[in-house]
Amino acid sequence: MSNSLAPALAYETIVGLEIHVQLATKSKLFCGCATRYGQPPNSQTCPICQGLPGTLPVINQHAIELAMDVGLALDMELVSGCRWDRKHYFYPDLPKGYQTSQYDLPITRHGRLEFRDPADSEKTCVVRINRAHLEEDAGKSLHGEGIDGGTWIDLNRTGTPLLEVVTEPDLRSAQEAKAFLIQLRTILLYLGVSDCNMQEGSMRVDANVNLRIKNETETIATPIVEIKNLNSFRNAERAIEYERERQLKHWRETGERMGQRPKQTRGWDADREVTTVQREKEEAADYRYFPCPDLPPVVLSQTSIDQRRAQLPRLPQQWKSEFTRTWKLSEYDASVIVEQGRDVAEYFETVAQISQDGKRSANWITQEILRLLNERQQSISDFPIAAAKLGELVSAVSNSELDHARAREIFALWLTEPISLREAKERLGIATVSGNEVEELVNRIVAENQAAIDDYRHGKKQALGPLIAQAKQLNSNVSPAKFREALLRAIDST
Amino acid sequence: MDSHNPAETTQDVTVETICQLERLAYLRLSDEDRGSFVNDLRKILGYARSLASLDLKDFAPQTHAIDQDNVMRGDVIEPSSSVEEALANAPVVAGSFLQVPRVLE
Repeated sequence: MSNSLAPALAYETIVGLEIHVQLATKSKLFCGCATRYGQPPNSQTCPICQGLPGTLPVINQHAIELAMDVGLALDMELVSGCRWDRKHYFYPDLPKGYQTSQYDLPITRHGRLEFRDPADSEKTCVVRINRAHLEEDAGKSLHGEGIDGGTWIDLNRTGTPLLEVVTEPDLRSAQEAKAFLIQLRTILLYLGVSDCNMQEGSMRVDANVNLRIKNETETIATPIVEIKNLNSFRNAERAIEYERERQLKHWRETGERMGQRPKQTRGWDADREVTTVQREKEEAADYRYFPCPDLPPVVLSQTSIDQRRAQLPRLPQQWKSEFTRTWKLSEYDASVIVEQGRDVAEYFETVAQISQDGKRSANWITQEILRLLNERQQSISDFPIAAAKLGELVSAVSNSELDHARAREIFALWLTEPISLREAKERLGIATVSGNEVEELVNRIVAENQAAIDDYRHGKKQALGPLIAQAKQLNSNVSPAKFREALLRAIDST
Repeated sequence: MDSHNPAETTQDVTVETICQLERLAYLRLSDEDRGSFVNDLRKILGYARSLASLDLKDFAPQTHAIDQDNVMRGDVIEPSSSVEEALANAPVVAGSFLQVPRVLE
């Protein structure tokens, strides 16, 4: 890898990610309080998640099932008899004084995730997943809100189930980290285990970053920095990129290596586009982990694992191969559609099934619909044109009943008018042109354009273009493809 | 992941150990208290260490003391406390929030 600061210096950026994913359960991990977002402060708590003494937490079975789904989708080992541990630290938004988490026996471990190499779309990158463990979320602190700049605490989020996915340090650039995150989110969305809404904090990313610098004699590792709470993929990419440059500069100035200082936690300041020091990391023993005596282990039987596996929805990779195999889409088009999520993939599939024209269906979706969804900040489920209707339209174009320009007019009309294809054609004055009408048009144009026909016969293939345009002027409803076909028949037979 | 050193659980208790625990628990103890905590903790840990003398070769390692597993509940929402109840024990409240002294990040 090269860098403008130091063209001669060889180094690698080493990135590992920790991703907190809020699981899509209705109730909290250990109590029946709702997990709804945006409710009035402290309206979704009970003695269990308030951490009052004498209460007993009970595990939400659905959180276990969703964690199993993620484990299965990422080729992970599911750990039967996984254990719950208490991670102790004191902070006002953690009412129990410890977070119930999983330390050395997480529910799933040792998986892998493949994604397209952002530097070369023909290649795939593989990242090993160290583990994914369940834990409860803390509450929310609002700093400097009170009189005297006091801190306000809202415990609604306390006890919400999180799955923390931890990768091995297998990523080698900010761009790879971003591509990995997109792929992970796509899988989680297809699984339906989380809404992955980063603005609402349903997916939060921490990145561990350092450099491996090679000089003539040795490879030097710089101290690891953890960047906390990256709340968008763009911020994750930029923060890692910033950290790469910062560490290189810092190493040049100080020569500081891994082990010469404790692991540092930094935050990303999106406005100033810098990372700033938050704290020097406490050692693991400082959390005084110990097994939670209130929660018995979760034993996963082979039957329960097989059941979850059988119920797993089709995953992005499976959709993608289906699209390239059955509908002959390019790897690129298939990826673009699949990365939009399950709703868009299903939409495409319906359009393709009805029209029997995968390539054309994909073009409509990637070129028209995705642009419109983006402009309108809309999801496909709210899009005014249903998949079946678009399928009918694409089918009409494929069968040369409509040309592309007229189809676009109908499409535009459908954005505001919930009418059928037949009604839309009537409204726009699009009539189906009969075979006889096409023949008459051909005869007239052949008679008026003998010179052009002769040119065509002498090998000037492009001579037909103006004739087709002329036909279109005479009858705007005629299909250029059908007219061309009839014209060629006429030329051949004379 | 953070590394875990099992040896730390059997280290000797010193005044430094107490100071470290004070820091983690945001407590401030007198020198006299520290001294007595060193002695108390040494005794407690020494007593716990007597477990090591048990012969456990016929027992499989356990992750839990109670012979129960899979005690779980369905994903069903149950009524929460009212905001008034939730805030009832708080020394200071601000509207519907609990208020605590300023936390410096």
